[in-house]
Amino acid sequence: MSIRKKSGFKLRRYTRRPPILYETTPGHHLLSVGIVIALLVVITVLVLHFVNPRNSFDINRISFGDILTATANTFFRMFLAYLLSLAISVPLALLIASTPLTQRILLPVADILQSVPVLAFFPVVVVFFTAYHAFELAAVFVIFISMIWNIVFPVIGGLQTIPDDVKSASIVFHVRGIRKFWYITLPAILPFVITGSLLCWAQGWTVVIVAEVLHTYIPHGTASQDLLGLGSLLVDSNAEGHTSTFVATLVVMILLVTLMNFLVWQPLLHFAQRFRFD
Amino acid sequence: MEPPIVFTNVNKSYETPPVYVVHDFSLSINRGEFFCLVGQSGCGKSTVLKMIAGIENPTSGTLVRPNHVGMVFQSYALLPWLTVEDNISFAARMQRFEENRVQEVTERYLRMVHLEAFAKKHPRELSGGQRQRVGIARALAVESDVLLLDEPFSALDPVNCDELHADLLEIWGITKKTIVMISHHFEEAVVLADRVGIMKDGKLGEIIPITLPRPRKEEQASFMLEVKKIRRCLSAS
Repeated sequence: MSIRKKSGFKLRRYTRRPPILYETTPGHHLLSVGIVIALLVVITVLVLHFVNPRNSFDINRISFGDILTATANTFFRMFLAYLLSLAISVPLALLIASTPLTQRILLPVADILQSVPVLAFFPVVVVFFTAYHAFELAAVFVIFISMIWNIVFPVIGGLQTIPDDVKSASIVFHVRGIRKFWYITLPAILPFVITGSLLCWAQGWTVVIVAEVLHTYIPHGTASQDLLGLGSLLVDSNAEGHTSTFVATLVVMILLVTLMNFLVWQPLLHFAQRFRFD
Repeated sequence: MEPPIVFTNVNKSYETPPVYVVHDFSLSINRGEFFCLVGQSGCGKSTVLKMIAGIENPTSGTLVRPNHVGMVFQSYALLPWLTVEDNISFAARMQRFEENRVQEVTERYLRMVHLEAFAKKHPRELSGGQRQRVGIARALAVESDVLLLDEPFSALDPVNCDELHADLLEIWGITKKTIVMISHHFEEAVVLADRVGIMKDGKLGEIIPITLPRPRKEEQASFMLEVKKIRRCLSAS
């Protein structure tokens, strides 16, 4: 660990995670603390929300604040579903691609599962989760099912783009096990995880509109069982003829999708270029 | 001194019933020697190199090989997300060297392949010749006694090839490593090697010692005689 001086700050060069060296300033540390606190707040709000959901809303009296709450709800549902699909799809893709045998057995299974329309699962999922009053989980689960295959298949494809010579080099240089995953496999699949994630969210935005309108899938269900979110606002305001609410919700949704494209996906896609084998 | 690499009646097959890629292969490579294996595509020379590297195991026979080797690949096999110096230090770190030694080794071999000015560049910003220099430095950073080269110059233009031949001989002179290279260019084998082994259909044919003084030039009559000798042996075997 060496210490250098630049722009008045003492910089530390960390070398514990070998090939990627990074330098930090006091500003970086403050930012890190800020991010951790923000994450903790978000997680706490989420947990409280899921324990005691406040989804009841009157479509005839929707304020701008309600639309903002709906936006946050929809975003969190999609974010949770995305995290879940990411946590499951990457290990699943690694397992499928791990040996020729697992590929022969699991790839056709995954192929069949991904071709079953996600909404076909929905009535069963809703009946199951509503039996336990887990309305939020029903929505998250359906969004998760719609997302997962969008990462699995690109990652399997990505693993096949690792050149044979790189695989041979990893054997020669004794890069095995977790070190091989961390230093070679993970960076190599990163571009495919990012493009898969982009597709996940695109799919998620489509499914969330249906996933939040639970009452249509619950026997003798009413609109009071719907989850407050952009999707349910769009459907319910359209059904009740509230054009202004419908338009406002649609604009917010388009704005959110556009912002995510500019602030998240474009920088990530650009960043991913450096991880591609030429 | 014991030879670091010894093949005794080694066979390698991939299928059942066996189709031999390498058949009854016996060879001893001396310490500090520059050995070159030549032959046509598909004759099994890459498999021999992979067995030395530990990438493949023999189906039968005995192979004595060092545990640690450095290897240079035809397609460079660099990690595109790492800079030149990180690619080199990566190989050293994977050998679990102390951090000081990693830095020292990286700087030494970066200097040896004349790429100090490109240390912070990524592989895609380099020419083919420069990328292969990084590949050589990375292989050296393992600090093993044996360096393996798998057709390292076949994708390069003649000018780059000549420069890299000269650099490789200089590195060999400094490091005194045992070098095993495979190539399908007879001239390249004569320029570089102490001995040239000729492979055909998975079998090792004649081994020709090259006794010409270095630096060897293609314009020399004796140089062309050695090339013709290899060509003749390959056609005869």
